[in-house]
Amino acid sequence: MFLQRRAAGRGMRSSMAGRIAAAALAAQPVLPDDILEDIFLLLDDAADLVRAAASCTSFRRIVSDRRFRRRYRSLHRPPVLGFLDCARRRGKDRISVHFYPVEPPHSSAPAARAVVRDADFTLPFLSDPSSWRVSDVRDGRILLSRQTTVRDILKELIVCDPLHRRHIQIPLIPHDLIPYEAIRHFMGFEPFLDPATEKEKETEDEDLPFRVICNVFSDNTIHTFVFSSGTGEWRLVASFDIRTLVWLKYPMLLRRHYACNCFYWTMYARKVMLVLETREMKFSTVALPPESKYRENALVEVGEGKLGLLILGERMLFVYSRTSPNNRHGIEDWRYDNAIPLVDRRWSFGGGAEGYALLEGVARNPYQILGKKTDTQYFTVELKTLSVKRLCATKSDTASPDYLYASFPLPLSLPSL
Amino acid sequence: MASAGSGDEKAAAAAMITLISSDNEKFEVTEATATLSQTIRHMIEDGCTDGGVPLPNVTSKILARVIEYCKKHATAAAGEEGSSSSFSDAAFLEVDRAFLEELEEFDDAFLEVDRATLFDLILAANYLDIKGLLNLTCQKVADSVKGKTPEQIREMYNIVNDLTPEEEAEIRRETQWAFE
Repeated sequence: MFLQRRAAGRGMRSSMAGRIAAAALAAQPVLPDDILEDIFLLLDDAADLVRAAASCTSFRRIVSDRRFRRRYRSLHRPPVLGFLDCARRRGKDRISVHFYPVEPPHSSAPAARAVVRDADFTLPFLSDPSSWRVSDVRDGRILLSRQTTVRDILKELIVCDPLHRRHIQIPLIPHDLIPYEAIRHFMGFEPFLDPATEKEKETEDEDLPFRVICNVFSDNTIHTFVFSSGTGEWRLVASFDIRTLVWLKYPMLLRRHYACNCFYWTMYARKVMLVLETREMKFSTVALPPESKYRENALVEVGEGKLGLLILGERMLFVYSRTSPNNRHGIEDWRYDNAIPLVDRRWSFGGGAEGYALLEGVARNPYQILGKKTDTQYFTVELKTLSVKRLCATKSDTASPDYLYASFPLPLSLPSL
Repeated sequence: MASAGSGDEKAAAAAMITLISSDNEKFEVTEATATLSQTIRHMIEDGCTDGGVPLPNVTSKILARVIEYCKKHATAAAGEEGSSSSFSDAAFLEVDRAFLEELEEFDDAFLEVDRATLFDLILAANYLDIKGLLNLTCQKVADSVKGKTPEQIREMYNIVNDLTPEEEAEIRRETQWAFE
């Protein structure tokens, strides 16, 4: 009887009824695929989705559908599975990327273990691993770069997806695109990945588009280039005069953050930060609250377009926020929101992502051997819910929490290249 | 909801629509209640509701429940509209909050039904295009499978396991992380 029920507006593609052999026994109406799809989209936890899909062939077919996975991914943030340590170490002549998975009782620990098993962080495709370094990690992609000579601003770039074991080479910025001034007074080069927009996450194309942004620093200007995988071309999109902000010409001293469609660059002991709004590719500067001076800062999205600023104090994490991430108004736009007490450890920020700040807490140990950390704990801080979550711990190690790694595990994850 | 009144007199004076269930039972409802359904709203706009709206896909039992939901939510919507002009902001927020709490309680009680009725309500909400009711009922189903194993889900919804042993083994291999 229930097969006669046809949706008026939504069009019923097929029904799982036919697949249930004992339908007569089931005194229960049957839901069409599009409604089942909507129900599955409401499952926040990917593990719930995967278990539901394992109930019968029709559920499995719905969840395996590429279009469904794209929709799911556009509605749910990928879970944080751990962090990547991309530091180069003395005595090691090759680049190394080490994945530190989250540990129980963190709810994503099983998914993180699956990524340890499935992903390849050894970068086996590099022919000369000693000359490469990791420039950025975002949306499951790792951006690698190498500079062949000191003055060479035409860096080689590779983007790879360790979970799906894919990589592609990015063409060099065409020489004629780079202003003469940038070459003559060249100071440094900073490539990074532009996060996927909401629209891009919904795309049903086989290849997910991505963009690499590249700041070329010279004595008095930052030139910003963007490579788009869609067009396969570089464009010069912005130039910013830094003659009144001379500290900005040392890219190696800047710390990059991303939140609310903007990139931010902060430097220790500086009262202002540089902001790049990514939709219009416009630079501006924003003053920081005086409390942030001489302290470590992290910028994180609060939700509803609000930008959050975390300031590390002595055994305290101060939370500030503002509604306009990139307009030039003064420090009065910052609002002091909260203070989160911290236990007595040496705290510092790692590289956050997806609305999370990454905190490292090293135990204070009087017998500690210099340079050796003992019992180091890692946490994420989320401002939307004001929650602090423990990720994992390392013993007498020297892990460097460079980038949070957030991804759906296989087979929910789709190749990002 | 533009033509909806908040008082009883207005409601009585407002246009009435007759809905006819699959088992031929007639339900008289106000236009404000009926137009929570986009399907019926379009029929009213097209002027084809004279002589009643036949709903061959909805039984009287389910239609009665759907109307109960629409009445409550139409009243709430009308109440909000009416109060916004006559109260100060603070008072309005109070009224708003009270309404929302009452609605939430109503929704919770409304969802206390067996699974067959829940599915029938989903199908009716989908057919009649009542967004709020569809979201509410789908969320109830989603919540019910959270933290459950495939076996528990099958049992709960009378689903026959039609996966081959090979497929089940493949699922376990691919998604072991979801079962730990």
